[in-house]
Amino acid sequence: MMKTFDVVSPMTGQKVASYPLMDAKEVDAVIARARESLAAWSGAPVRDRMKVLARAAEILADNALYYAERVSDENGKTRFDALMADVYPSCDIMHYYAQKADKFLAPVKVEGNPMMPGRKMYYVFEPRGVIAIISPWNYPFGLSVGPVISAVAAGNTVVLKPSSQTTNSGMLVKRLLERAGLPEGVVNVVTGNGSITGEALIQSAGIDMFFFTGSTEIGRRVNIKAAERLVPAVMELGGKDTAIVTKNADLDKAANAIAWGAFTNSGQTCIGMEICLVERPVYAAFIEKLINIVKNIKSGTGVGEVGSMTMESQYKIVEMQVEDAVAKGAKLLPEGVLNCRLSGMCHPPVVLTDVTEDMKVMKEETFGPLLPVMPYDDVEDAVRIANSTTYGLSGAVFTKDMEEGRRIAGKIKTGSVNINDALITFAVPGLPFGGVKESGIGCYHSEVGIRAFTNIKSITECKNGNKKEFYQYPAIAGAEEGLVDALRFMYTQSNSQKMKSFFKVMPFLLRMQKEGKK
Amino acid sequence: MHIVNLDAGTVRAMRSALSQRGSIQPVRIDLRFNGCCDASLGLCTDAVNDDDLTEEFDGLTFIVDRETFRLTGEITISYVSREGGDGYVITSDKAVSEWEGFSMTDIIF
Repeated sequence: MMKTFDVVSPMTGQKVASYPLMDAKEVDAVIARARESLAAWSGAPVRDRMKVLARAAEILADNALYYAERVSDENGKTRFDALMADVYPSCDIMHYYAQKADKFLAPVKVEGNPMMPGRKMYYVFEPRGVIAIISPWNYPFGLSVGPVISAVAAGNTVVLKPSSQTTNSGMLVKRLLERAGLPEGVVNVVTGNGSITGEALIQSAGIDMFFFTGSTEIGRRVNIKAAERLVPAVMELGGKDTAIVTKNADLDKAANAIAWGAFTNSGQTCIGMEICLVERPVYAAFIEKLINIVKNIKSGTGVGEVGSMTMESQYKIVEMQVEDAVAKGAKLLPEGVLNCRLSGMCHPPVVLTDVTEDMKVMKEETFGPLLPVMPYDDVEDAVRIANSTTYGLSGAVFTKDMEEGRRIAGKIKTGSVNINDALITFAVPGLPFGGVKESGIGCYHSEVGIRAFTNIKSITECKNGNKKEFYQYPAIAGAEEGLVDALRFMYTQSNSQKMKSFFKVMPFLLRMQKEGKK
Repeated sequence: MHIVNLDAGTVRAMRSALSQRGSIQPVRIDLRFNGCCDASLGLCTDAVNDDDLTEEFDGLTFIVDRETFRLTGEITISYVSREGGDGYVITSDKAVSEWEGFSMTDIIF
């Protein structure tokens, strides 16, 4: 009898759904189905694929609240958070590729080589095959839709393994696309946990590419398994993102953006603001503005602006970071913030001041509603702290001096930086999204991102009518001298040398052409 | 109440690792965050705190804080070799994340 597992609401503790816990045999059967569907789908015109995405965006927009509620049910986030950060970016990226996929996937012509005339040279983007996509529970719909539709638009078929906590969202993605006209078998879902179903997926020989979103530790092993088979893998991993607020910042703008960047989705955001560094002259004023915002945030299920955390272990880790920080001298704000415990796994947004770099909250990813705020005197020191973690996902700089903003942004070692904003690089489908250092390998979104799901094939077409080229057998007389003269002509930086070489190389080129026709 | 389970090979590997480092402290089983959505259980040598549960297993002493044990239930530690390396795989009755047991860990001294 097939084993099953339950998806349980973190808000109510009630069962939301039950799914099969798939083992290796069942996973292999799903991969085989994806393989069977590959020939027909990869052969379909790109414009047909784009039509599916356009229709899916339309259906999603028409039923936005339904989808947001389903995400909220199993993740615990507020309906608005689901609407804003799962549903809206999903509509947008589907619309984006529905408009542009054909351009991004069109053959790219390149300049020919002067010594190899009469040829057309270009490269094309071909589907990689069956793509395994492993998605997390924090943005379970949005972080599934992005890679799934990129893979599908590029002509691949997909095996999606959603987090076992948020399996409904993975099923919703499949159903949405099929309702929009995607043939069955193009997007397939395997259900189960990482240690059994995920293990089976990464051990399978039937996968042509992995796209993993999750922790650095798990990503590292997925990448090792992919490397053993020389299968490409894109890794979207964790982050410890820093906001730097200079004395030239609009403090209201900075406080609003950073509060949202830190606490949206209960802080369970890879690109969330996890450290805030403020130039000392404006530190006190910034803290006052930030606390005024934070103390008015409505936390809790149902009525909340910040909803429930998703995993009990995650809640415990947040508590451990608070205990460690307080033991080392940190102050919690707003005052008395933890005196009133909320229901279930709702954790109130907390600002920590008097923090030091040796605290866990300053070094380790929190993934919860905590924001340590620290003053700085020298911007170089702020940049050093921002770059001191093992991660390199995203960051933010707040200043009205855009030159200063760009200068600081250039020094932060991350895959993206927002100037006077937080998180939004992810929501812009035209911007590549990915991390550096332990935050990941490769990227998605944009022209670059859709091409990551393709094999690039270079093609030359020779139409010069030659029966033999000068470098083929037997060599024509004077080929060596002629080639040396040609190289000088083509690559010298001296005009007089170019002229001299031109007169020497011309007879060779004419002879080369004549010999080639024989 | 049973806290931890190990097979004979794991006990041997752990005893050898502890004696090589000259450690006489107990082995703590702790909750760790691995970044983006994933918690796991880890091992380190540590002193016993007031809030800890303690268990002797075949001459080894294990500690875990009560709150972590409430989340995990009984814990199993296995010493394994895979992908060219050796390490400990830790699983529990109530997995702390869906990837529990997927990757290996070592004892932090």
